Amino acid sequence: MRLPPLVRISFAAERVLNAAARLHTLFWDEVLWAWFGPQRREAINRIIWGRANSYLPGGNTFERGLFEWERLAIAKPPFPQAGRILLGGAGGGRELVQLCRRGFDVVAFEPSGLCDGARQAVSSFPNSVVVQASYRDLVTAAQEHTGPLASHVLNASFDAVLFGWQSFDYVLTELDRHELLCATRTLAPKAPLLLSSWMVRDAENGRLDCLRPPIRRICELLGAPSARRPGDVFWPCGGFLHLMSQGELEAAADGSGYRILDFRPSAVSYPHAMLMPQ
Amino acid sequence: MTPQLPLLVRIALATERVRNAVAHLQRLVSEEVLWAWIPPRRREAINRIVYSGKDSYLPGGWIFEEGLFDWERMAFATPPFPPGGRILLGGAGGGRELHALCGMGFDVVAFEPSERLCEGARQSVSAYPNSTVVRASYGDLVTAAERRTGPLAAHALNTSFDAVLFGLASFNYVFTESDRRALLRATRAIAPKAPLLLGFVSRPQGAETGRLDRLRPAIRRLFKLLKAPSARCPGDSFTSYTGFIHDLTLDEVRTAADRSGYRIVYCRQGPPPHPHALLMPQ
Repeated sequence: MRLPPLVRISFAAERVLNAAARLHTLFWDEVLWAWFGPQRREAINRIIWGRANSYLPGGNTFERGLFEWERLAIAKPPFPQAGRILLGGAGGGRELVQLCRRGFDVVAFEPSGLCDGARQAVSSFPNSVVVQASYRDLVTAAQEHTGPLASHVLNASFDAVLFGWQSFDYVLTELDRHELLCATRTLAPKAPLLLSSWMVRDAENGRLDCLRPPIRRICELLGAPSARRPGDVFWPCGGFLHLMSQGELEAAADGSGYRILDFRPSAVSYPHAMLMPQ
Repeated sequence: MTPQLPLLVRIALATERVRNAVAHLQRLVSEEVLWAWIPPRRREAINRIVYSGKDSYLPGGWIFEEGLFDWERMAFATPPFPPGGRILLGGAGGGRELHALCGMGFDVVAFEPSERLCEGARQSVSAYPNSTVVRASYGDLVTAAERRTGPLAAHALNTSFDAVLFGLASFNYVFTESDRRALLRATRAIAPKAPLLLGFVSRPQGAETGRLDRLRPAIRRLFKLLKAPSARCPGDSFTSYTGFIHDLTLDEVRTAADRSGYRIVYCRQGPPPHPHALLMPQ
């Protein structure tokens, strides 16, 4: 049986719009990554995340509490049943408040204005603290013993480390991922590390992807200060982020003295991994 | 003062808003047109064609290979879901849940209306002789319970079931309140003591209240004047991926349960990807 003409027209219109959407995404990924260097990307991400009200206490995302995969991951070894946790990319405090309610003491940090919301969310847990700081500040604390996180993470022992939901995707280069994991391992040498990532969804080899190199060349000719690499995306609600491949995750873990205990590359749930220091 | 985004980023965000509005408009018009002009019987046939092209649901496809979702695994491992026994599985798709349940030791009577997916489901449990897959729809389950005929009668009657599972989002393909009530009553008649687990696609309260949604009543009135054979109701949706589908509110699930002799043990709206509910016969 053939589909009725009305349905076929609807499908055709949807295909045209999907192609337009793909073209739109591809164009702006290339242009924005080319014209904004690393420092401006971080600043833009902070502005975008500072407006993400759904991540604040009372917002939709915050009120979801822990996701099923998070609940499962922290309920079983090697994740400890109690102790002190280092939480990076804490957002508005969604994971933070749930961890505090489960009896953990948490040192959390978040670079954007969401930090104030996270502070507010755990105001009744005096053993937990929220610092306005980035993953870069964690590396600085580990390497140079300075910066906003130094007094909170040095000379403290952590029983687990959690990188807040998808926050590892905001560590944009291989070098930065390597340095961050090395810093984490230095600060919490025996602690399991739970992280999640959107992971790469397509191979960038579709028909429209052949437009990427010419766009890149035009940006280069026009004097763009930077360039996009595979996996680099710009999301209107998420800003600049890097969708890792499984290989990139494995390389980051191996190169910094972690082994991957459990990796769930689910496309339906959220890909996440539990790492242990080797 | 709130820091401003650079001009280039603001342009990207503005064009994204325009793109979203156009996509929303296309979807809105498609939904109103198709639900108005395609009568109920043809909708099911169209859905079967749409689903027959879904290789991802078949063994080897990425959705099949996902196995059970976390929420399904937790639900199956927790009472009142039984630790063993026979399960009635509706909307079995290509066998994702079926294969996992058989692997956990359950015997399963599964059914699926799409011929191609049904074949895939059969193939996925060929190593489990106590499980069977029938090509049948939820309408056929109602027929089996009410008239004791149809493709499911021989498999679902005079058999006891320890649990019932409606495959992921399959309850969304029961479009009307009366059909949902009839299905749940049939399920309760066939499995009077069994818990019923269903995962569904939800729509938030207050959905369809955007600016562009104001066009919907006008389109509906126009089609009524043109004597369209049917009409779209709130929650009725259509995409090339899902076909005709009805996005359920939690209230609709509650109402269907209440009116068919089930009580809701739990109804979890989140976290994503799917809200789900466990019902027990009262």
